[in-house]
Amino acid sequence: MLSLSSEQRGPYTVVKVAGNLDLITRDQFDQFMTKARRHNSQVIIDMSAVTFMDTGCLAVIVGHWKKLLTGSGSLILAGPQYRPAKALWITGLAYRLPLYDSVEEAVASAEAITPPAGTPTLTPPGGTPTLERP
Amino acid sequence: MNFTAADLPKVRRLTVTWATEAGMSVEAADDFVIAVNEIATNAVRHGSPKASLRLQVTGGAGLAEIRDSGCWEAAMAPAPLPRRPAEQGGMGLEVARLVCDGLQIKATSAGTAVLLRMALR
Repeated sequence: MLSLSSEQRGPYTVVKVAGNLDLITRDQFDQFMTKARRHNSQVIIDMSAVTFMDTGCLAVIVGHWKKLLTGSGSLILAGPQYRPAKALWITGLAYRLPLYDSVEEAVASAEAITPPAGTPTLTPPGGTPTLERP
Repeated sequence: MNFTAADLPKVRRLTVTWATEAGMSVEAADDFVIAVNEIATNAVRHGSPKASLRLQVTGGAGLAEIRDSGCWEAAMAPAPLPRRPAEQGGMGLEVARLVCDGLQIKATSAGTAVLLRMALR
């Protein structure tokens, strides 16, 4: 019901989540995220293929986000779809967690924040997280 | 239907099909499924491994009754429990309350029953 994989994209470890995030898959997801977090403090969760997410798994995401922040790392959510991941919007956490439409945008935003040494920045850093409801 | 944790995907599928056939809008049916799933999750996680779901239409609304034979803290509490940090969980009951048109908890020593109400269009 849940498929998890990870790959390296620049400075980021991208965790690809496909399927249901619920009580049944929660521990599996939590353990996978713990491994990813120990491997790299810059993590993107690709949520574009999540078919359902409950508040328990959202709590798992928030837990890892806070732990990464404490260690000067970051956690970005990429591509969550409104209907299956609606818990993000109902709880208001969509407005607190770093959220981008796609992995590409998340990676690009990070590059804008931390350009290679010596690169002049002509555009304001940061990028704008997408917060609008569809 | 009777269910265990392993049946939660089935609980969601059954609920969305039922809600749509009962006449809920797509948005209301989505919200109803979210609420039923959260309460059903609490039931099998904090109540008893086996729980039951009953769906019925009454007075222009869809009702879902989720029963377990245990006692969960949030349902037994005489007053709302203090809000916990999001990473500690415990958001399910609040989310169900937010998205439904009504939520009633009947908690006794014999078990917990939660009734969810969603108006039909």
